[in-house]
Amino acid sequence: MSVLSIIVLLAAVVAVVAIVLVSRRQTEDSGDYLTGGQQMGGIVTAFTFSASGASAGLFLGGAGMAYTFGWPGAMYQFGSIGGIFLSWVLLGPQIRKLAGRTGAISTPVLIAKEYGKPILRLITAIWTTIFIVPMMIVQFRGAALLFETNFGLSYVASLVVFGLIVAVFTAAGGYFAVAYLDTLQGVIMTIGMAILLPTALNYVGGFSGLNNSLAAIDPALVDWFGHMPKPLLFGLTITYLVSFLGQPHLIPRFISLKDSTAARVAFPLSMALTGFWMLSGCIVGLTTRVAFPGLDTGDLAMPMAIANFLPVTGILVWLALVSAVMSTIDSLLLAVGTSISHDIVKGYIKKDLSPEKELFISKISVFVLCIIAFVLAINPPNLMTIINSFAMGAFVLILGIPLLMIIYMKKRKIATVLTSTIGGPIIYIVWKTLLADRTGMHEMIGTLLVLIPLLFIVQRAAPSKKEHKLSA
Amino acid sequence: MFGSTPGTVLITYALVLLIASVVISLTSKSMFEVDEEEREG
Repeated sequence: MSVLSIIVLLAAVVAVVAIVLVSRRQTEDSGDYLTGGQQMGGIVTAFTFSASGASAGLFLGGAGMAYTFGWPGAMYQFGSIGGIFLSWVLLGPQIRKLAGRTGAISTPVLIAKEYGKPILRLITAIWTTIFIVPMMIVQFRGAALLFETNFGLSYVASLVVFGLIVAVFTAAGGYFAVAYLDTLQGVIMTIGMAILLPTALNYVGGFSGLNNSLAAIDPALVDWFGHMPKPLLFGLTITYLVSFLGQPHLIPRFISLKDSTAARVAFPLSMALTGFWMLSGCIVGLTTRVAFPGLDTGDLAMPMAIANFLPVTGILVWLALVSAVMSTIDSLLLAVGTSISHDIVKGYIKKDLSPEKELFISKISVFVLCIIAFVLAINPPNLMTIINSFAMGAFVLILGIPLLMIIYMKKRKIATVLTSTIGGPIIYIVWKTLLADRTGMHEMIGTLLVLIPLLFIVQRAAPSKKEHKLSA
Repeated sequence: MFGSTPGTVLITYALVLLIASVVISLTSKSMFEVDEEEREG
């Protein structure tokens, strides 16, 4: 390991410890721990929202898809960039307003209070806990592979090291620590890609050289659809377009905003950050296809780009990759800790739970979930990446549709929201396991085609009940 | 500049949404104007 690498890593460790120490001083109760006391500014919120949304799939997977399919493999970014935009336009400021009105510090509480049905808190919290686990496993695996390739540790040892770092950090620091570290990591990701992108483009002769070289390898690489299977392309595009409307680790970012000025700053800054990261990741994948066309798998595109385009400063980009993973998994852990301690234990099992014990249970939950994710990540199923996007999509049905109904429907009915939160994931699972291959239709598209008409029918047929007011 | 229709359109699309987000943030009252008393309550 070079001297520069050691210095960069030591600086990273010092920064993480400093952030935890500062954050612990700011954290006085569960509200501070879970949503930063709803006092977060626009810049920090933009970074933590963007960094949490940009997971291992962005740099490794996005570059890999572009490497494998060329520009057609980057086309689903229409959905992901549009999804970020829609989440801010349709949800962001309104969620902040709802959280202020209800005093909710978690999404399940917010939904339960707005519908006046405490059972919704339990249902959405249980689904959240279940579907977050596969997302965590994928992040753990991505981080372990990065540690393994960079430090020569075994895969299991890498999992242990990364798991311990993330669990201790998240449990010790809470929301403030996660938000501040996400901001630092977002800056690292931005600098890393700002170095890697022009270097990689210069290597292949700029944009024109890139496209000419891609066309010379295979004209389909610069086509609209090329060899990219259309069901996969449309499925990914739709999934990413809608999935940002219901992510349990992103919605608390809206709740944490301190005022409307912070929201006005965070929205465009989030668009700039995520747009830059997503597009630069894809373009680096394309340049790697030109420079190193014989890789076994597209997932090696980004590590190859770092190793070959940036032999000296590659440690910074490696740190950016680990940052992308860690900023997602710490947010996922915080979300699942909230679901278990605040929504399941305090909401149902022991309602008079003291704030100290609630905080303690949240931290224990973080450790337990880390252990579960660690065990499952030792030998994950081959289709883990697909399961990850599958889990992301499920949250649209569990959280996204109920939230949209709260904001945009005046006469919402409990039967309709139960159809979405209970029936939606069941249709989604059935479509994925039984119908996706037979129909050639992605589970998200199939589920929405069935669920949306069903919701309209239930909404019209269900007995009308007067306003659902705060009672949860 | 990019010489590729998909690449050009994708980058243009991202820029358009970025500009739209700036415009919405600066001009939209209904989206961002929140009763702070409600929030405190």
